[in-house]
Parts: sequence; structure tokens; C-alpha cells
Amino acid sequence: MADLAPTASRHVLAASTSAAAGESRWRVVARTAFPFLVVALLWEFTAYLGIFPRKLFPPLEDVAATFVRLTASGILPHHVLDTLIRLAAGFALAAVAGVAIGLAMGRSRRAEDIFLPLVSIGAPIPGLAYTPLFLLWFGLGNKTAVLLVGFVSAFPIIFNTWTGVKAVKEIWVRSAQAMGADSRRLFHHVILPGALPYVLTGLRLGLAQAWRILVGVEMLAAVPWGLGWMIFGAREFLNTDVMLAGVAVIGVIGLALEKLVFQRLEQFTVVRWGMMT
Amino acid sequence: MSTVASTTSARTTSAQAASARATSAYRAGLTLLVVAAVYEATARSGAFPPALLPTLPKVAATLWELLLDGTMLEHAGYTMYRVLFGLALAVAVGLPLGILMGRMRSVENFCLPLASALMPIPSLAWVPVFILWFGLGNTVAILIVFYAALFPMLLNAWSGVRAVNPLWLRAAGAMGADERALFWKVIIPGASPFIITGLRQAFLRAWIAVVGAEMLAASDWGLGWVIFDAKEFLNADVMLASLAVIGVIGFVFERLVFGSIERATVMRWGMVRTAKTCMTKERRVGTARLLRAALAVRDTQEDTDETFLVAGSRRPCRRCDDGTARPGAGLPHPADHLDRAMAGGRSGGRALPRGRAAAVGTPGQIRRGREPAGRGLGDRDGRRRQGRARRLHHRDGRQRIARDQRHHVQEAAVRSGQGFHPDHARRPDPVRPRGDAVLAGAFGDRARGLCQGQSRQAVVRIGRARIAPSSLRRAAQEHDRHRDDARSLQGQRARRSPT
Repeated sequence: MADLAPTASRHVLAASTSAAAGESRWRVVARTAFPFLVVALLWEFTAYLGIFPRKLFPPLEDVAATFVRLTASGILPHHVLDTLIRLAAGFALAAVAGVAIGLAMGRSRRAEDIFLPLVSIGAPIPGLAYTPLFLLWFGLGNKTAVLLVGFVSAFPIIFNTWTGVKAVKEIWVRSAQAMGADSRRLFHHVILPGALPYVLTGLRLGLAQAWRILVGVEMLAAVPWGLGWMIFGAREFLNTDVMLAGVAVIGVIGLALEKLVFQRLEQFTVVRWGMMT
Repeated sequence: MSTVASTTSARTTSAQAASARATSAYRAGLTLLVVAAVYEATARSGAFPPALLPTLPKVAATLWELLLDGTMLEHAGYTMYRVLFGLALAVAVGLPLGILMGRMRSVENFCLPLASALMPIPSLAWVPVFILWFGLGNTVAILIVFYAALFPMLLNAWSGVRAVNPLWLRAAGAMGADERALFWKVIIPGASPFIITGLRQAFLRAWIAVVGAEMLAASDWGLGWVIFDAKEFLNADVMLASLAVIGVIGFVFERLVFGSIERATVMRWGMVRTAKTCMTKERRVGTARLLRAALAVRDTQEDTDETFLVAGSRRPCRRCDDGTARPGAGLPHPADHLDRAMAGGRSGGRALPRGRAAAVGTPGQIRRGREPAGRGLGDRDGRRRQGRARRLHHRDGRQRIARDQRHHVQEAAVRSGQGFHPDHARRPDPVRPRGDAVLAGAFGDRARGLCQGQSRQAVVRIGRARIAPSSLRRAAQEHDRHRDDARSLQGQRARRSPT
């Protein structure tokens, strides 16, 4: 249930941007860019001061040059692509299994009694702690990474779906039943739209979780390509610029997943149906 | 007689609830046993090497051994040290900064873009960088924990301060509270639910991060390191044992420590309505009882609207278990809707009526809100929405309010299945569920009329919903039956209540 709070903060966030819509666009851009400029300047200053060796604390233009070089040579896109494929596979696994289990738990008392203890035992253990175990069982490589990502990110999805089905208003269910809706139509027209805001929150949390875990798993599971591996491998050669470029790409992808994928999805479903404003 | 009947029914329901709980516990225990048995059978079958899949007694023995010779405790101690140190740092930085962000526009403008750019970067991505900068060891783990825990703390503190009800601020200001009193007596308690949530999330993130950091930045001690190290020697029993320890510590912290913090602060201050959770548990109340209850509530309380929805939940609540059945215990009062709508918040992702509908329900509060806002009262969004409600209030005057209130009551009646309002199908209403459910529920008073007047038609259409005549007839009959019931019920209420 504590997982539900990000929704609130996200909404305040959205509200603050919409409140700023009254200002001119340039002012907003400038205001947003200003802190980054300050931090970048501080970074450059520290880098050129020479307190730290340049190899360890490269100035930003080095990082940018590395980024361009890696992108042009096709190495970085390859890493990104592999990571994204792994993410998609793992998350798809988690979404299908998580939503199915969550719905079952919400609808049937028996399923709830069966799954709840298992889920509540598995959930509080940090996902990465399972990594060595999965490595032992499934070996190094892709399979472990995908399975682990799926396993770990299924938990928030299960919890939120379950809560969502439980939170569908009784009166909707009962009035639909009074009107003679069979269980299929009840599910399709009442339960599913009613639980969808929670399910989407769960998917969003699950994706964030998957992204966090994936980076760690790639470092540990010795996959041949992948952003996490790129960063971890670069450490051996003291390539701090490669590492920072990788971290930046990871951040951008994380932001894009959040902003583009899920906000769109929400617009198309729950907001349009009037389940959420 | 009715009292006797009600107590008997209360007793039976509580007995039923107890037996249902017992069944759940029994099934849960059974599940765990079955899973353990299946695991044990697989482990003993020899299909997998025993080094990879140790039997449960072996895992237990290893755990016991490690606990006895103190190594496990030492590992756990190191891990806890890193987590708590990092978490304390994150709280020390994140909490004041978040509060400042909530109170001061310039700080918010500076920190928010940075936070939202850094937040999507998983903390583990920084591990290699930090190892290069700070070397292997405690520093890296603590910094990673700090990074992981900082953002939940920061953002929750910020949105908590922003979500403090502006009415409270204004009320405190009007009573002569100075900045300091305002901060300690209003803002901190008001933001506390968010802050506690932030602390919880921060701990969860930190707990995940520390395990990863210990695996990657291999220092010699720590639960994450044990697991990773055990992999080298194929000690699956050690791994499972430390996994169990990690799970137990995480669980204990989440439930006991943060649970008690929450009880000691927010719940005692009354910042969290425990009643809110009452709605979520499944209840088996027949439609008949629901309709009767709804009618009774409508006939006795004039100014309710959401109460209708809750009429079915008149039962002792498990949390606030004082045995008294209170109508409307499950959902917040319209005034609370106003508060929350103005704060721009939502409760747990469920759509609440916001803006006009909520505001119109409580014109008194809006008029109070007309007083000039003090300095730095924060919530732009709330003020905007409140402004809209106030304009509505002034533009159209009392008459309009009265009409809207009437409409509101009617609408509630519609939602509770007690009436039908022709506007309802046309008016976009954020709370209205899509599809047939509510339109189906919309047949109460009018069901009879529609049933007689339009029975020639094969199918009655309301809005987008098609309702079959058979269902319509059923609804009408049910309605007629329970209207009479409600009358008698109301009589009973009147006889019981004159205290």
C-alpha cells in the first residue's frame, strides 16, 4: 500500500507544471535549464581545477565526445538495444503474470488465501538478493536476467492489481448484478475499468522496479551486451567518461519510459473513461 | 425488539468474520506447507544437484550454525550500519530540502528539475563510478544507500508540504500563529503522512540498494556480500539462509518500526482516517439491505450525498472496532472532498468528486476561504480551484447553489440506485464509472415509470446504456418493495433516536 503514494506526488508534480502554463514558454525553459547550467559549471570548474585526476573526473566535453564516438561506432546503440529487449521481455513476463495473479487474488477468496502469503514473503526481499541464486540455477546470461527482472517486478503489479480489484465500489458491482450482468460482462464492464487506475499504477511501479533491477543484474550476470555491463566493464579500464555517458543514457531512458509510455497509456484509458482526472 | 434483532445480527456478522478469518489463516498455512513440501520433494528427488537445491533442514541447520558462531549477526550488523547511516544522511538532507522546496518557490524551481532528472537513474548504475572515486568499501555502500533513499524522502516531503490544507494555514494565521508555530503546529503534522510514506519508501529503496552495492563493491562483510560470495563456492544453503535473514530484517523494519512510528505520529494526530480502509474489505450485503439502508439514510439526513454510497457499509469496522455501526463511516464527508480537491490530492488513486461538485456541497467553507491569503501560503493549485468555486458561488448566487445542491442530492440518489436524473446521462462526471453499472443503478424512483411508460420498446436506452425490459421490471419491483421497508425502518429509527 505504501507503493501507492507516488501517484500523489506525481500528481502534485503534474499540477505544478500545469500551474506554470500561464508563464511564457521561454521562461519555463530557462527556469528548468538554469539548475543544470549551474551544476554543469560547477562540474567543469572542479574538473579543470585539477584536484582529481582527469581520468577519474573528466570534464563534460570529454563525456560528450565519448558519447558521440560510441554512438557513431554503433557500440552504444547495441548496448541500449540489448538492454531494452531484456527489459521488455522481463516486464512483459511480469505484467502478464502479475495482472493475472492480482486479478485472481482480488476476485476469489481462495486464490487470495493461497497467493497472499507467498507474495508477502517474497516481496520484502530485495530483488538483487535473488541474483546469485538465479545465477546458480539458470546459469550466466540472458535467461537469468530476464527471469529475475520478471520475477522482481511482478510484486508491485500483483499488489496493486489486487488492491484495485478490491477497491472497485461494491455498489457498481451490485447494481450491475441487479441488472442481470453475467460474470463475464461484470468483469469486462465494471471490474476491469474500475481497477484500471490501480493496475496502471502497478505497471508503472513494476516498470520502474524492472529498470532499477535490470541495471544491477546486467552488472552481475555477465551478459555480453547491455548498458549495465558497459558501465561495469568500463571500470576495469578507468574509462570514467564511458561510465558517465552510460549513466546519462540510463537516466534518459528511465525518464522516457515514465513520461512517454505510461502517461500516454493513462491518457488513452483511465482519463478518457473518466476514472481519473 | 429491533435493538435485539440488530445486536443479534451484529453478533452473527462478527462471528462470520471471525470464522472467515480463521479459514483464511488456515488456507494460508496450508499453502505454505504445500509449497515447502513440494520444494522438499524436489530437493530430495535428486533431479537437481543437492549443492544447488539444498533441503530445508540443511538450510535451517546452516542458518542456525551461522547465527550461533556470530558471523551472520556480524554480517547483518554491517549491513544495518550501512543502511541506517545512508538513510540518516538521506533524511538529514532530503527532509529539510523537501520542506524548503514546498515552502519556497525559488528552491523548488532550482531543485525540482535536478531531482526529476536524477531520480530515474537507478542507484546501482552509480556503483562503478563511485568505486572508482572512493575505492571499495563502506563509503560506496553508504553513498549508494544515500542516493537511493534521497529522492523518495525529498519528493514526499515536498508534496506533503504542498498538500497541507490551505484552510488550516489560514485558520492558524487568523488565530495569530507566527511562522514558527505555523511550521511546527500545522505544516509538519499536516505533511506527516507524506513524510512517513517517504521514510518507508526510502527505507525500501535503501534496503534494495545496499544489497546490490554490497554485491558489487565487495567489501568483506555484509549480507549482500555473503550471498554473492557463497555463489563462488556453490553454497546454496548459505545463500538461502542469508536470503531469509534479509527478508526477515526488511519485514521487521517495514512492519514493526515504521508501523509503530506511524501509530505514534500520524494516527495519534488524527492525520490518517482509519475509516478510509473500511470500504476495501469485501462485504456480503444483499441488494435489498443496501437499498433499505440507503433509503433510511436519505430520509433521515438531508444534507448528505456521499453517505448514500456508504449506507451498505454500516457494520462494525475492523480497525476502529468500537462495535457501533455508523452510517457513512466508510467514505469521507463532502467537506473532506472539498479539502482534498483544493489540495489537488487524491486518495489512493481513487477518483473523488472535485472542483465544483465538491465545492458547491459546502458553500460555508468557500465563503470562509474568501479572506485574503497570507504570505507564502503555498498551494497555487488549491487557490486556483478554490477561486473557481468562489466565482461560481458569487456569479450565480445562492439560488444556483441551492439548485446544484439539489442536483447533488439527486445525483447521489442516482448513484445509490435510488433515483434517476435526466441530466445525469449528459453531464460529464468524473466519478461516474463507464458503462452499464451506474446507469443500471440509476433506476430507482423512475424505474417504475419507465417500466410502465416505455414498456413497448424492446430496449430502454439511457445515455449509452441499453437496458433490457426484464431488468427494468426487476429493478422497479425491488424498488417498490424496499421503499415500504424503508418507511417502516425510518419509523423505527425515529422511535429509537430521541435521546
